[in-house]
Parts: sequence; structure tokens; C-alpha cells
Amino acid sequence: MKQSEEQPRSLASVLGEVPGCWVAVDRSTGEPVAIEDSPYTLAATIRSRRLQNVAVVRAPDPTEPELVGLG
Amino acid sequence: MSDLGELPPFPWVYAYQEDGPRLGSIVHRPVVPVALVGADVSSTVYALVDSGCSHILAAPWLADAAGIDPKVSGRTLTLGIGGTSVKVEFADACLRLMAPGNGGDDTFVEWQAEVGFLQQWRPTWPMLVGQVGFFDQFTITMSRFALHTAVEPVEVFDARFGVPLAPPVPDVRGSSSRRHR
Repeated sequence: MKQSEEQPRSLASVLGEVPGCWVAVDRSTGEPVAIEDSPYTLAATIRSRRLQNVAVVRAPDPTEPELVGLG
Repeated sequence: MSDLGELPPFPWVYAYQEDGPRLGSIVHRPVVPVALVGADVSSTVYALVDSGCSHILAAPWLADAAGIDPKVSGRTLTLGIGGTSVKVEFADACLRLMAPGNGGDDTFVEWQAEVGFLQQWRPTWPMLVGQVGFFDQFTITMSRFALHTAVEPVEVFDARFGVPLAPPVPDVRGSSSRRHR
């Protein structure tokens, strides 16, 4: 549920609901607009639905450790 | 660097985003919305702003989404990541930084950069923008205090701090360095 017009939904609250999935979130509201098991499928969904103003992220599993020093 | 349409004035300021929950903990990360452009335009992703990385690195599916074949260039590096070694294939691409706010996907700046594609990817953020290809294109300010990242034109650093003396940076990949211009 959208919290307010000014305050986008927290990303962690979205990611916590769909562990292991790939999510397209609205960059303005923070709300999830598409969720898929695979990033390839999600990219195809975004293209076919012509979704705009979204950003793709991967929801971690809550048992995964925090990542440091990726690059 | 190029753009389409009327751009909002810099600085472009982006809120940190939450990463997690992992093992009951949530951390805040500096990220910016970026798309890759090759034969196609990829979905926009939140890219981690990583001042400690020399490269731009991306998940393999982004190469597919942008119509880029990273094997064509033949440029590979073995990088140490997370305590292990991984093979990274590099390709030339355009990066597209989306303006903050409600401009949608039509308000952006775009530039050429070398992008390294990994064969596997587990981080929350599908791309990582580092020193070469991002920090050499903009002046970046990350504030943990404010939980925001500010992106400004690269010349802003000199205007703000003066032109510091610095040793020449070896130009091993043909990328431009201000010290050599």
C-alpha cells in the first residue's frame, strides 16, 4: 500500500515480500509493478507491458549475508 | 555526453535505497537509475555507486536486454570479487542516467563507457558504476548523513575545490583523463 504521495514505499518492505525474485519498482512511488523469478522474464515483461519509470532490482533471500566488496 | 529534450538542472540528487532484509538487517546503498544501450535499450536498473571499484560491472541478463554480445570484443579480465576470482567480459556500450523526479525514461544523459559483464550475479543491484566510466564523467557526492547521492557535471569539482596537483594517470585503456587533456 502506498504510504503517501511524498514518501515512496521503502524498498526493503517490497524486497522482503518476494525473496529471490526480480522486481521492477516504480521509481516515484516505490511500489512493485512487475515481479518474476528470472531477470530475463522480467525484462521481457517490462518490454511487453511498456512499463516506464521503473527500476529493476533482485530481492535477496533473508538468509543471505550482507554483500561487501563486490567490485 | 548527450541528452534528449529539456534536462532538469544539476545537481541531480538521488535517495539512498534499502538493501535487504538479510539476516535481519537492512543497509542503505547509494544507487542511481541507469539503463544500458546497445542495439536495444535495457530496462532501467538501480546501479550501485561504488567508488572503490575501477570498473562498470553488470549482470549477464543486461547484456541480453541491451542487445550486446560481450564475447565480440575479446576483452576479458579476471577480477577478484568477494574473495574469489571471476572472469569478466568487457564490451563498449552507452550508459543512460535517468534524471531524478517524475521525468520518466525520456529525461536522461548518455555517455559511452566500457562495461564488464559477469557470468553470474546475486547482488540486489544489477549494475555497479565505478571510477572509470562513471566517476570520470561526473562529480559525485555521496552523503551517508543525508542518505542521498548528488550527481553534477565533472567540471564542478575544479570550480569548488580548485584544480589540485595530481600525478598523471596512466591511460592504459584509451579512456580520457583530465590530466592528459
